[in-house]
Amino acid sequence: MRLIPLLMLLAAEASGQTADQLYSQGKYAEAASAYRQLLYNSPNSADALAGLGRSLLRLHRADEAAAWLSKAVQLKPADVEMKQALARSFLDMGNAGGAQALIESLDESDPHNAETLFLLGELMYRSGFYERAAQALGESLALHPDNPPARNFHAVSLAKSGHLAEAEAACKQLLEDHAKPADLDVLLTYVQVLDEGGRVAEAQPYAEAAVREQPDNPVARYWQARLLFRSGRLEAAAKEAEQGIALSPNLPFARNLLLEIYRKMGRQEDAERQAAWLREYNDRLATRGRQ
Amino acid sequence: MKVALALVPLLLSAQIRFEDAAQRAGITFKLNNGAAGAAHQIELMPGGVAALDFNNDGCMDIFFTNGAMSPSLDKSRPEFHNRLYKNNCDGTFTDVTDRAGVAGYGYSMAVAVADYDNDGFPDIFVAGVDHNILYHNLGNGTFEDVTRKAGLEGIDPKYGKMWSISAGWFDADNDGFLDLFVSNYVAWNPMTEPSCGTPSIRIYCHPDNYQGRPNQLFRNNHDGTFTDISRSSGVAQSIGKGMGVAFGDFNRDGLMDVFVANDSTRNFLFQNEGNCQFREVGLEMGVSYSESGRPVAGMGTDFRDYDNDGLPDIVLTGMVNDSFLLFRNRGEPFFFEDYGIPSGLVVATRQLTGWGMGLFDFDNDGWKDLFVANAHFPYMDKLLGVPSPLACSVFRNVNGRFQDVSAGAGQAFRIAAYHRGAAFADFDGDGKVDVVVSVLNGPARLFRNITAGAGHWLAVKLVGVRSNRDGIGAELQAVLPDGTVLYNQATTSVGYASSSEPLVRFGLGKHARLRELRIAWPGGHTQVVRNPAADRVVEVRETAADPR
Repeated sequence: MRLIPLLMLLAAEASGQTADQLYSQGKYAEAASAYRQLLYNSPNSADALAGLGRSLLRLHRADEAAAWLSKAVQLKPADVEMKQALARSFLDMGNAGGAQALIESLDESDPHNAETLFLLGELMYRSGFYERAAQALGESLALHPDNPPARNFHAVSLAKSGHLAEAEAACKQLLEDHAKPADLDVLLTYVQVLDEGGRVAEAQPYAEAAVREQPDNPVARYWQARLLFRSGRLEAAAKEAEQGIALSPNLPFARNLLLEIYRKMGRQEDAERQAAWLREYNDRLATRGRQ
Repeated sequence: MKVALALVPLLLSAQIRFEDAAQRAGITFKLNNGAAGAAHQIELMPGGVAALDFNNDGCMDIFFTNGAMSPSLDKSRPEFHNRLYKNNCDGTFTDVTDRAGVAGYGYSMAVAVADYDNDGFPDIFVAGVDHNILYHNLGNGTFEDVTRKAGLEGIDPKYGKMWSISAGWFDADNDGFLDLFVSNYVAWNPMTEPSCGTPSIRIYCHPDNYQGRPNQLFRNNHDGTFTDISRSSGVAQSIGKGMGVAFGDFNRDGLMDVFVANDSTRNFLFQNEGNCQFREVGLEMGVSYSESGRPVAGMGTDFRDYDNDGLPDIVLTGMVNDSFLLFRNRGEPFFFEDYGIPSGLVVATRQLTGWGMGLFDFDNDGWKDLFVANAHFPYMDKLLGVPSPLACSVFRNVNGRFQDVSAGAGQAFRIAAYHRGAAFADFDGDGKVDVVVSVLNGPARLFRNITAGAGHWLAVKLVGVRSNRDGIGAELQAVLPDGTVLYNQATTSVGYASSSEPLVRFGLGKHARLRELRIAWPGGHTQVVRNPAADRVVEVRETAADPR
C-alpha cells in the first residue's frame, strides 16, 4: 500500500518539472493544466498552487489567479514571490484595497525589492497618486532597469505629477528604445508633455503617429483634436473630437474639448448638447455613495 | 491677449520675497478645529481670516475665525474664540477680542467684512456650521451682535441652518447698500455622518458621501435688516458644495456676477440679470469644469483681471492632480476659455492642494501675481509620497504667464503647515501687499512682503456716496504716463472663507505718477482723478449729483 503514494509523488514531481517548463516556455494554458494535475495529487503543494495562479495571471484570469495564490500564500506566508504574484493579481482584478495591504506589508519587510517597488508604483499610479508612483517606480528601475512596463508607468507618472523635463526625457528614451509601434500611452504622454510645455507644433507629429497606429483609439483622436484646437484649426479639431466620441461616447475630457470647440465656432446648439451631456454625466457620478 | 502681450513689463524682474513676521508682530492666534479623532467633516474646513481697518486709523487689523469642540460645537473655551487683533501701526498687533466683543459662538468658518450700513465703519459677518453672526461696528472699538435683528441667522425654510463655508458682500442691485452672498457646503449631522477609514483610524470622507446644499442671497433693506431672496433670485435653485465665493462683472453690463467654487461638483457662475435675478451660466460660459470635463475640488477663488485686458478672469484652487484653474475672459460672445496650460498654472500646481489665495501685485510691476496657502488633506502622506502639510506658494505673473518663484521667496515659503484662509493687505504701510494666513491647529502666519526693488504703487480708498460706502464693485483703471492701462476692482471677497482689505491697489513699476485714475462706480457713474502721484493711499470720494 505504501508504494502508491510514492509513485504518485514521483509522477507529480515529473509532472511538476513539466509544468514549470511549460510556464517558462510561455505555454500558460498547458502549464495551468499541468499544475492542476499536480494539485490533484498534492492539493496542499504551495508551489503548484502558486504555479497555477501565475499561469492564470498570464492568461488574464486574475480573479481565479488570486484565489489560487491566496491559498499558496496561506501555506507559505513568508514567500515573497508568491505574495508579489498575489498582489499583482489583486492589481489586475482592480482590488486596490487587497493589493495595498499586501504591498505595504512587502514594502515594510523589504523596502528595496525591485518587484515590490514596481507593484507599489503601479498601485499608486492606478490610484492617481502620481508623485508617489514616480518615486516608487524610479526606485524600482534603479534596482532593476530592464523592466519596460515600469519604465512606461514611470514616464507617465512623471508627466502626471508635473515633472515635465524628466517626463520628456523618459518618454523620448522609451520612444527611441522601443520597437515600432511605440507604446501608445508613452506616445500620448509625450504629446501631453509637449503640449503642456506650449510646444504644440512639436507635439503634432506624435499625435498624428498615434492616430495612424491606432485609428480606432478615442484617446489618440482626442489628443489630435486638442492640438488642432490649440493651433486654431477648429473645423479639423471638431472632426477629430467627434470621431473620438463616436468611438467612445463616455469620455468627459473629449466632450469638454468638443464643447470648447463648438463654443469657439459659434455652434451654440451643438455646444449646449455637449454641456447637457457633461452635466448629466457628472451629476450621475456625484450621487454615487451619497449619505 | 493681444493687448496684454503687447505690454512691456513695467520694471525689471524683482524677486518676490516675504518674511514670516507673526511672532514679532505678537500674533499668537492658533486655529483650533476641535478634532478628537473621530474625523468629523467640519474639522477639515476652518477657517477664514480678514484684513480690515475696524477703527479707521489707517492700519489694517486682523480678524480670525475659529472652530469649536467637535462635534458638540461648543465654543466657550478661549482657545476656540474668534480673535480680533488691532494693528498698533508699529509692526505689532494687540488682541482686542474681549473688548471688541467678537469672540463669537458656534463653529465658525468664514468671515466677510464690509460696511453694510454705510456708517463709515467696517462690519463683520461670520459664517459657520451652526451659527452665522453679524457684528455691527459701533465705531468705538466695540461691536454689537445684530444677527437676529438683521435677519442673518441663515435659517433656510427647507434645510434649516446650513453649514456655511464662505460669504461675501456685494451690491447685487446697485442700490448703494451691500447685499450678502453665503456659500453653503453639504448636509452635515454628526449623528448620521458617514464614517470612512478603518474602525481604528478614521479619515475624512470624500464630499461625494454628502448631499450638497444651495447658496443664499440676502438683500439689504437699507434699515439694518436683510431679506432672504435666495429662492426668488434664482440662486437657491443650484445645489452645489460651495467653497470660495468671488464677485466680478464678467459681461460688463454694470451688474456684479457671482462665482462659486464648488468642491467636487461643477462650479457656479451666477449671472446677474438685474432686479436681483440670477441665472447659473457656468457651463455656458465655460467655467464649470476643468479640461478633463470633470469637476475639481474647488476651494479658494479670485475673480479679477489677471492679464490687464480689462476683463475679469477667474482663478480657483483645487487639490492634488486637479491643478488650479484659470478661466480667461475673452469677452463677448464666448467669454471664458480654460487658460490653465497657456498661463503655466496647470503644470506648476498639479501636485498642490490650495486653499486661501489671491491675485495681487506683490512686486508692483503692474501684473497681478498669485499667492496660495497650501495643504494636502491629512492622513494622505503615504499615498502622496510627500507630507500632507505644505508650504505656501507664490507665482509671479510675467506677461500673463505664471512662474513659481516660491523657492527664492524666502524661508517663509519653506515652512510646511496645514494652511487655510488667507487675507491680503498692506499691514505695515510700505506699499507692498502682505498676507495673513491661518493654519489648522497651528500658529497663524503673517507673510510680510520684503520684496527689494519693487515698483511704485498706488492704493485707492474709495468713499462711496451714491454707491455703497466702501465702493465695492467699483472698477478702476490706472492710466500710466505711457498710455498703458491697468485694471482692478474693489472687493473684499478673495480666496477661501476670507476677506481682504477694501483698498484697490496698483503696482506702477517705474512710474511715479499716473496720467489719470478712472473710477467706474457701481451703477456706471465714472469719475476721473488727474495726475495722482504714486506711493500713497489716495482717498477718492464719489462725486455724484444725487447722493444715496
